[in-house]
Amino acid sequence: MKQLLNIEYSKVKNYTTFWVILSIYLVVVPLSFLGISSIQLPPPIVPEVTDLYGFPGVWNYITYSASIWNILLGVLVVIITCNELRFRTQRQNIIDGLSRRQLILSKFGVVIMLSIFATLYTFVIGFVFGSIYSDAGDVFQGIGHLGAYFLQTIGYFSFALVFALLVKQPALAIIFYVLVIPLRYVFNLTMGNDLAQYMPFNAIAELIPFPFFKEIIDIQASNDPNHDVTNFISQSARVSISLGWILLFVLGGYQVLRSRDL
Amino acid sequence: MSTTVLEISKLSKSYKKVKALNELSLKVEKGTIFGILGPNGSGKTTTLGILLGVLRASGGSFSWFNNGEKTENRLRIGAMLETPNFYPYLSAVKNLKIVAKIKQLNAGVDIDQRWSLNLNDRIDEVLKAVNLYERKDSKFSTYSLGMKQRLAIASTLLNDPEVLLLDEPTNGLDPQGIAEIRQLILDIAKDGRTILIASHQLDEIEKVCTDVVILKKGVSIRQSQIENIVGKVRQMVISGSDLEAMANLANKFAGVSVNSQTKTSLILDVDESVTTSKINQYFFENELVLSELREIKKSLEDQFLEITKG
Repeated sequence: MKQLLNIEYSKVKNYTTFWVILSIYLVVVPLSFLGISSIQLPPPIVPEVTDLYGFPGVWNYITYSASIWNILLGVLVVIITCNELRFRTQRQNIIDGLSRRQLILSKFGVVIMLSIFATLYTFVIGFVFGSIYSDAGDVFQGIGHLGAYFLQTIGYFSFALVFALLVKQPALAIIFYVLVIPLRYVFNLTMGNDLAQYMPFNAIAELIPFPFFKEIIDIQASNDPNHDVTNFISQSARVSISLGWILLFVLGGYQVLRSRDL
Repeated sequence: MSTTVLEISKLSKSYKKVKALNELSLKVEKGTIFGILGPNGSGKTTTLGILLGVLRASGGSFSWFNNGEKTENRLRIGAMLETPNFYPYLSAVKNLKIVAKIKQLNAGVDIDQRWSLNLNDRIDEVLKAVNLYERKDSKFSTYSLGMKQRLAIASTLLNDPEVLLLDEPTNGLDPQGIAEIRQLILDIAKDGRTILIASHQLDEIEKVCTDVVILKKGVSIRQSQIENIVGKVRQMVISGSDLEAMANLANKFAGVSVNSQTKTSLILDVDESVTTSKINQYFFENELVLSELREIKKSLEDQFLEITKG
């Protein structure tokens, strides 16, 4: 696996597009997070700055805010996967001595590396904001959101991987990938909330709970005894569902590669 | 110890409607330069694609080094298939380093005891061998077709493979480049390496190969050592004033048959025992004077066209 990652690193080391997209991600994640506080709406619609940026709230807000930009890194995965098909280097890698299993493993390795990178970076941003806006006493309360975020990025990126392998054309794959993510709202409308939460993007997206309006929702729930809470499955169930989908994506990608003439 | 490098048994490949390869069987012995010859669409690249793991066979099997179809076998092979495939934004050196990592040649490790070279030196060496050394740090995307082809060949040499597998190796090269690559192939073969070459260029095969298989529409129609195809059939051209009489006469001579007739001459297929002087004497004795008499060596091209005709 180390050797495979080494090979993948050689491929992107001098690939300008890779570093440009990564740089954009590095810039927009803290910038957009900083931007939330400038929205001129009263609490509880936009929370107080200390709630937003201070521990422990920051972990939910930063992971939710950063998750919007997962699409950038997802597109990056689509690009580097489609490149291998376009340049026919995937074929050459096989000819030179990689197995198809190694091909999918090496790209899944890239997915994991990007997820680790995104999670660590989000942790750093959250930690910096939290340290500035609060006492560092309760740093680790709510840090579980980062774990969920890690899983979420793996979910989005591994879907990008199998999607790129299926669509093959980079331009089409990018457009479809961007369009497919909001598909979860379509699932919500057509299948109903109960069933929809088992769908890949619903489960994966909802790993990070929507942090805004929390108080409004809480108030509503307490006023309405019949408020439907059953259509929200537990976080651990959501983690299991997400893991299941990720496994399915990777195995699906392997199956596509295994059966295909390259 | 067996010296069979590659054994193919009833290998088949069908696409939806087309049978691209139909029960091909062959054996390649160590040290041979094996040519796979055939017109476009005859199944050459399909065969190589299956042998290199990029295409899935519909039937049959193959075995490299008596070790089956395992991925690890490909680490002992240097191969190029169809177009040169490299990362366009990387230089020749960086592309070759990726190949080296896949081939599990690590920097600093001697590739071969005889050379005691490290990886960087080896990369320089193969780039020099294909005349690409001066451009070694240019991006692949800036290369001409001929240079891309040279890099593909350099890449196959990198791990000093036991078997070299080349698909149309002189594609896109100028005449000088073709001559250089041909010499390179012959030099490599001298070291006892086994080389497989797929080509539709007959003189390429004829000039370097020791064995040849001729494919047509996915079927092997001839398979033998090259000298059994080239030069086995001797031919003579004779001209004279009365071709009709000459043809009648020729067919009566033992070991001679008329192959074809042109406006001014006859082409005869002759046995090994027949010499030009015997022919000349025979016609002279039968009161026919030949204005032309010469032996022609039937080239692989004629053979090829004849065999694949129809």
